[in-house]
Parts: sequence; structure tokens; C-alpha cells
Amino acid sequence: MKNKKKIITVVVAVICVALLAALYFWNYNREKRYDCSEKSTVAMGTIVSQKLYGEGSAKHIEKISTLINALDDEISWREPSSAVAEINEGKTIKSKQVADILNKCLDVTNECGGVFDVTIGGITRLWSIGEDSQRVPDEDEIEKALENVGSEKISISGNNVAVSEGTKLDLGAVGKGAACDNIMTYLKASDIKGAVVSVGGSILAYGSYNKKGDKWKIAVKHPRNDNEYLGIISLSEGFVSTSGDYERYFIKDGKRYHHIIDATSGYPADEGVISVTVVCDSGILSDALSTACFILGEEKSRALLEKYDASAIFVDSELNISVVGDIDFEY
Amino acid sequence: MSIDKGLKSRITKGDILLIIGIVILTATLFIYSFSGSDTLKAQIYLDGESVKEIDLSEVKDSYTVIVGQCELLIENDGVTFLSSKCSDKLCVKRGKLTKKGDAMACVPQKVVVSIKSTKGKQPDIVTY
Repeated sequence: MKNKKKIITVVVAVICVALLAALYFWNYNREKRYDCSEKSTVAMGTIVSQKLYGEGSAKHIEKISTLINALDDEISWREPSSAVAEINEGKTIKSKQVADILNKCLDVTNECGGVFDVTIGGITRLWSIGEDSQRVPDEDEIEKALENVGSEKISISGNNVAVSEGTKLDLGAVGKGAACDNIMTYLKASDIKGAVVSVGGSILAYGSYNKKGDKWKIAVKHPRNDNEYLGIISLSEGFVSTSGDYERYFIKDGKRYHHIIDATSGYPADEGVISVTVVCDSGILSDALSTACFILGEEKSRALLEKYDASAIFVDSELNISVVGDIDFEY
Repeated sequence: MSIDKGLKSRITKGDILLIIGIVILTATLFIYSFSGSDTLKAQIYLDGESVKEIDLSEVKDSYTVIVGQCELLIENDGVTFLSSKCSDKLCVKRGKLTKKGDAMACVPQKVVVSIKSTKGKQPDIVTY
């Protein structure tokens, strides 16, 4: 009788241990990260960081780099043979890629009252912020350059694109987001389980790094302190873009001149915002909206964000943080 | 017969040893799953190719390395672009890269430094 009791106790104990171990390994297996391939390269004049998860993900890294370079070759105004450079020279160019990007940009331009406008090329070249030739242009120069800015300066017929004489396209504000869109299309057609890619700080998040489907942790850079993050966004899938006054700027006579120019005034935006991070379901839109929201300021941005079902994190000059919309953001 | 007495008569030394064994095994599994210190490594790329991977926790004395046309200072807590033959010097102005997810490129020289980690609650990527 006593031995029987002991046997039962041992059997129950062994079953408990086995169940515990099975539970542990089941959970461990679900939380374990898939094989990861990583690479950081320079493309589009910035850092491109890829983290791809899943077996055989390494083979996709070069293909994604090729996609980014192909887009840059088509939309960079600095590349003399690009479609955009040729459009800026007065030619009518057939390009589905450029037409698609412009159609999305024009939609945002109309919704934001023209503060974001890709016909701003003449103005950005006057300021040349971040380059050796950066300077504060004369008022007259800005007034003259503004004459060539406006969505009505673009004509799109099917995939044929042209601009009015003197107008210069600059897709710099949305090029990285457009690259993220192209990469997302590629990823969805591939066998990759999950990926986070940064094209100069514009982020795409796809799938997950484990079977459990854990969310990606996307840190937002602190606009005034390189040694800490502003906070962490948890995101399953989507696009994240940040516009800040800290990436490219110069200071003259104690005033900071940053690269985010209000297309209606020709001057760097000054609505008291120093950083805006937008989360939405399109790379081009997240890029365009982060620029537009930076220029408009929080209050005027609310309707715009709602229109595109986007969310945003605003940081003002006193480092107050305000979250608009539905973002899982810890700070 | 009191409850205490009844339990005492049923629980043997062997049972107690078994319970201790289960507790130790459980604790070991938990410690194993959360173990591992957060070691940072610096991955350095030149023209898209990884040319150096440095475990920063193993750096006792700081030293410099030349990658392409850039001079990098490697320290226990981060990596700094000391100099570069580029015109804007944005890479030098960036200062020390210290956290997982930090990355800086000298775009003209095609040198990228990226700080990475395999453990800890650090982010997967950084938006800026």
C-alpha cells in the first residue's frame, strides 16, 4: 500500500515535470527569433539598414538593395539621367513610378493647404541645407522661386509627367517612404517571415521575428539628446516616418534653419514643433504626412491625420510629447 | 487525527526531495530563459560589405581603426568617427554611437557603423 502510494507520487511528479518542460519548450520555440540576416549600406544618400527574418533571408538583401537603387536612379533630381531630372529639364517623361508617387503627393498637398509640395525644388536648392553651399537666401530670391511652386505646375496624363517651365520637382521628402513601399511589395511576395528596414530613418515593419508574432520595437530618436530615445513604438506591420529639425540644419545669428521648408512661405517651418513621427499604412504617405504635420503643427494636423487614418507623435520645443491617434507608444 | 498529523504521515522524505527537485528544475529553466548579458557589438561596413565586427564588451583599451578614408575610435561603450576625408563631416559631428540601433554613415566614403546587440529589451530599429 505504502509502495503503491509512492509510485503514484513519483508518476504524478514526473508528469508534472514533463508538462512543465513541454510548456517551457513550446513557449521558447514560439518566442525564439527566426534566422536573421542583417546589412547596413549607403543608398539614396543615407543609411539603409535591413533586418530580414526567416530561413534563406540572406538572398533577399541584395535584391532589396537593387530595388532601392533602381528607385533612386528614377526619382533623384541629382542623378542627371533620372526621370525626375529630365522632367525638371522641361521634358515630358513616361514613368509609372514617378506618376504614382506624384499622384499620392498631390493628394496630400491638396489636403494640407499646400504646405507640403514636391514642386519646392527651386526653394530647397536656394537654401541647400546640409550642403557646403547652405545659406539664408534673400527675400527676393525666395519670392521669385515661390512663383514656380504649386501643384498646378505639374501635369500628369496617364503615366506621362511634365512640369511648367522653371518648376523643379524634389521628391526628397517622400523618396525613402516610396522605397519602403516598394520593399513591402517585394516582401509580401517572398518567403520572408518578418522584416524591419530603415531607409534613412523611414521604417517599414513586416510580419514578425518569431512564431508568436511579437511586435517590432521601433525607437524614436530623441530630438535633442543623442544618448537617449524619445520612446518605443510597438508595431506589428506598417510604416513609420519622422521629420525633425535636428537632422539637417545650420545655425546663423543664433537662429536654427532646418531643412523642412513650408512650401507656402519658402522658409523653414516654425510652428513650435521639433519632431513629428507618423505611423500609417503607406511609406509615401507616412513620409509626406510627417513633413506636412511638422509644418502645420499639432492642432492643424489632426484633420489631416484622420483623413489618412494615420497616427502621430508630436514633440514641441519644450520637449512636451503629444500622441494623436492610436499608437502603442511607451515613453 | 489533526490535519497536520495526517499530512505529516503522508509526506515522506522522498516526496520532499522530489518537490525540491521540481523547484530546482523550474528555477533553472527560468534562469536559463532570462540569462545573458546585453553585449553590444559594432558592425562596420565599407561599400556595403561588412569589414569588421567588434564585440565592444571585449574592448579594454580604446583604439583607432582606419576604414576606407575614415578613422574610427573604438571604445568599450561605443564607436566614434574621429575623422573623415569627406566635406560635410556629418559623421564626425554625430559623436559617439552607444546604443543598439545607433547607426551613422559617412555617405561620401560609404562607411557605415551600426551598433547591434542580441540580448536585452533594446529596440529592433530606430526612426529619425
